[in-house]
Amino acid sequence: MPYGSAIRRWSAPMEWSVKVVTPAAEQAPAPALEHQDDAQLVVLAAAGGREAFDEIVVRHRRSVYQVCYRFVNNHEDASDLAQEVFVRAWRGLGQFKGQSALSTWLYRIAVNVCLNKVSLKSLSTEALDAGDRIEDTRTERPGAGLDRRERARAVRRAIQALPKKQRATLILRTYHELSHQQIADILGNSVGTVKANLFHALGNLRRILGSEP
Amino acid sequence: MNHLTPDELIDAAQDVLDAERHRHLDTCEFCGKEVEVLRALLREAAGVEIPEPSPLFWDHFSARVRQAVAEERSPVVGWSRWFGWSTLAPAGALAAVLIAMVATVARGPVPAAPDTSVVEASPDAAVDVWLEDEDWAVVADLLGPVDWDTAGEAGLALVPGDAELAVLSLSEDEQRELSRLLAGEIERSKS
Repeated sequence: MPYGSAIRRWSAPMEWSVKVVTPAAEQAPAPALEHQDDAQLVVLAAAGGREAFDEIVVRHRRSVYQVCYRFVNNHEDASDLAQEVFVRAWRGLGQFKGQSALSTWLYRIAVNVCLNKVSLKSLSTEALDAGDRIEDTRTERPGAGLDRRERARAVRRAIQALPKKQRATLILRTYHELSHQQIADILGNSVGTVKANLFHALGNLRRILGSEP
Repeated sequence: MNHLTPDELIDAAQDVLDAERHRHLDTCEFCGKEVEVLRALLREAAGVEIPEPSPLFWDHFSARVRQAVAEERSPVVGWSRWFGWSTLAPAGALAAVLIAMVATVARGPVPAAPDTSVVEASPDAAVDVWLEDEDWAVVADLLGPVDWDTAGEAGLALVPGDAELAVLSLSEDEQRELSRLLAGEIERSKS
């Protein structure tokens, strides 16, 4: 191209209309965190995404808290344990391979935290209340002389008195409706052991509550 | 027909017993009663609610977790977490402290009367003590080729407070294990 034409082109008045298109802008915008599934949140959180982890906490905090509450039977300890569960989950995100559901993995951490901590700490104030000793309910038949609330408290205390693995099995099966296989994965047992633990847990409950329903 | 096993009783109470074994329940009053007892216990346990926390609790709980997590390092995927400087630096400092402490103990108490004979000191005397023990030889092998200049360039040189920082960064279990190892080494060097 001769110089003259080039100069004419550059000297001519021009109107610019610039549209910057980046590769990211060409893609669909990333969905908000609350619309991402657990697996996506785990990937983001494992890369250091604390907001993604916040969303994980929001989704699972209730069920984790409930597992902990079933173990310790009081709010303060349950909330402390649940917090510990999520801190350990944060530390262990790099090891989570996605072979189980995130909720199952969190249950596993929760059970481990509870089994370790419960053996170190004294039982809850409710369980130590001298006026509510488990033995007091042994001679009662179900519903006889005990109102529903009192009966519920007796059952909670009876569950708390179970050996740890039996308690964990009963809690996960009864209140969180996990399958025997899921419980086996969480506790590191066989399915047969899980069923045996559940059978013995119910037998002990029957003995403690003194009931023959 | 044999009575139901505990596994089968549990399956029956949860309505997942296979059909063939389930037929046993039609004819066995004993097993039927057992299953009913288990069902009733499961129902009763399942019916026990736990108190629902205040609605305000959940936001407070999330904030607590957020704060606790903020004090943690970011999770690192896989084995690479063990090779970051944040791990290697305290580990290197700790290893150096361990070497110095055990070497000091292994030399034994300072004699009351100074030996007047002249002995040429070997710069590797402390290392020789280490190499007598196969366990510690691994550490010596790892750290042996690294001189202080190289360690300093890599950021591994000790500065005041490094050892304390390294120990404080250990978990309770790791601190207990460190105490156990040190106590064992001290005992062994005394004997």
